[in-house]
Amino acid sequence: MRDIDFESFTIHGLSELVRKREISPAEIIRATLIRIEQYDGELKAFITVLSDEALECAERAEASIVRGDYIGPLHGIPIGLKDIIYTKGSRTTCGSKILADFFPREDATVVTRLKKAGAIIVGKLNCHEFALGATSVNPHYGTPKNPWNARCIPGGSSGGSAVAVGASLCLGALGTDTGGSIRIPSSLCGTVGLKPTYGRVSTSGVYPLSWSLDHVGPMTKTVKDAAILLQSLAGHDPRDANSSSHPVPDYLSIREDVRGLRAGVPTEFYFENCDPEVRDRVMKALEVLEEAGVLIQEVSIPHLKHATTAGLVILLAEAASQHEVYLKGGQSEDYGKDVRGLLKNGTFVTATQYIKAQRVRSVMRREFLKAFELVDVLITPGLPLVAPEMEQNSVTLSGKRETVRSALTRLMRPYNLTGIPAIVLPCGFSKSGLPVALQIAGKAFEESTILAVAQAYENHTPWHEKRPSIETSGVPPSHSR
Amino acid sequence: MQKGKGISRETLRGISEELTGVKVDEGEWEEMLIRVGDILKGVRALDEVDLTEVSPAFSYNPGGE
Repeated sequence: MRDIDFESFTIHGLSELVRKREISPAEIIRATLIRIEQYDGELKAFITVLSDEALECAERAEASIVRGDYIGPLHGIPIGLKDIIYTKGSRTTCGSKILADFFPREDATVVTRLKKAGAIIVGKLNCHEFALGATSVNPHYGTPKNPWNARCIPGGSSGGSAVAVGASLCLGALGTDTGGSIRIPSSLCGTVGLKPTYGRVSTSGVYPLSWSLDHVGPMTKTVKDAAILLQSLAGHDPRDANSSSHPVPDYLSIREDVRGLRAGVPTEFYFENCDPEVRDRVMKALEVLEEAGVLIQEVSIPHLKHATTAGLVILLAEAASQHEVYLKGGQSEDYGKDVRGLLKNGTFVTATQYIKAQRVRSVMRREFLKAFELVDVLITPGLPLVAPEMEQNSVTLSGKRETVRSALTRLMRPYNLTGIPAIVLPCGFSKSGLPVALQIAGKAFEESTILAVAQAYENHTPWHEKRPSIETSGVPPSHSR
Repeated sequence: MQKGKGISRETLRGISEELTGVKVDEGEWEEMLIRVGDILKGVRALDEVDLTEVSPAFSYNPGGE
C-alpha cells in the first residue's frame, strides 16, 4: 500500500486526487483506519469505528468513480460524526451509559445528505455526555485528548470531532453547537468550526439538547473544507420543524476580494477578561484583515453580557424537559455527576424565568440586527483563553476568577441565542504552543460572507497549515467496531 | 415546619422533589443550591434589560423574515 501523508491532506486537496483517479477511496479509507488504530488508543476521539462499513462504501465509491460517476468533492472522503448523530443500524451512544446500546432505525438527515454526496462515514466520535458540557470530559468512554497537548482538554461538547480532525484521523467531521459545542473544541484544537444559521442545517435525527438553540455544522482543517461540507448539508428538511426554506447559495464560490467589506468589533464584553496573548493574536488578525481591505470599525451591542444567563436558562430548561423521562424513570444514576447535576438544575427553572430569558433573547436579536445595519460581519476572539488542563476547574483571566465552563461558553452563547452564523479558525499560537482562535459572525443566512472573510484571513496566514506532533504511548484503541 | 424556626433544608429538599418530580440526594443538594443561587443571581440581573413591549422569541426566526 502507498504511504499516504494524511496530515497534509485537506478535503479539497484530496478530492482533486480522487477526481483525477490518482488515489482511490479504498486506499484513503485503509490509510484512515490504520491512522485511527495507530493514534486513537491515546487520543480517544472515537467511540465506535465503522471499519467494515467504511471499507465496503469505499469499494462501492471506487467502482462508481471508475465507471465515470464522480459525484463531487466529498466522494470517497472519510468523515466522522459526533456520536449524538443517528446512524441507521450503527450504535449511537450520545456519549452516555443510558444509550450505550442504542441502534437508530434511521440515519439523521445530515448523514443521508453526506452519503448522497459520496462521503464515507468512518466512525462515531466521542463527546461530552448528551452534549451537555464544554470540556468533553467523559466518565463512560474516556476523555479525548487535545492533540496539541495531551494534558489539556480538547473542549466540548464535540471534542472527539475536533480531535479527530486536528489529528488527521478523518478529514472532516460533524459536530453540534448549542452553547458553543462546535466552536469551543475547534478553537482549542486549532481547527475550523462553523455554526450555521439556525434552521440552515437539519437537526432531524440528532439527539436534542435544547431545541431552540441546537445547530449542526462542519468541523474541518480549512475554511474551504467547511464550505464543501456545508454545501452538502444545507437546505430545507420537512422532517425538521425548524428547518428553513431560505435558498441555498453556492458556498464553494467563495468571494475572493473582501475589499470594502465592513467588520465590526464589539466594544463591550468580548475583550473583557481575556488572556492578553489571545487579545494580541486577535488584534494582529484584525490588522491582517485590514491589510486585505476589510474596513474595521467598533460597534456596540449593549446587552451582550446577559446572553450567558439567558442562554443557560433556556438550555437547562429545555434539556431537563428532554431528559425528564430518564431523570424520573430511575436512570438518574446512570448519568455522569456533572451532567446529572445540570439536568436536575434545569428542573428548577421556573416558567417565568424561561420566558424572561426568551424575551431577553428578542432584545438581543434586535441589537444584533441593528449592529448589522452598520457592518457585514462581527470579529471577536473565539475563546478568551487557550486550552485548560484536564483537572482544571477554574481559571483567572485579567485578575477575575471564573469556572472553566463559564470561560469556555461566555463568548459563544450570543450566537446560539440569536441564531446567526459564526465560524472559528486558528489565528496563532500561545507561547505554550496552544492554538488561539478568531471568531467571525455574520447576518442570518450569510454564511458566504463569513466564509469569505475567514478565507481571506487564511490566505494571508500560515496557521491552518500547522499540524500537532502527536505523542503516542502505543495504547491500542478500545472502541467498538 | 416548626413555628419560629423557618423551613428546614430537609423540608425544602422534599418540596423541591414534589414540585419537580426529580429526586435529589442529600450529597447533591448542596451543589444544586449553589448552582441555583448562581442562576438566580443572573436572572435577577436580567431585570436591567427593558422588556417593555418585548415578546418572547418562541416563534424563532433569525433572519427576521
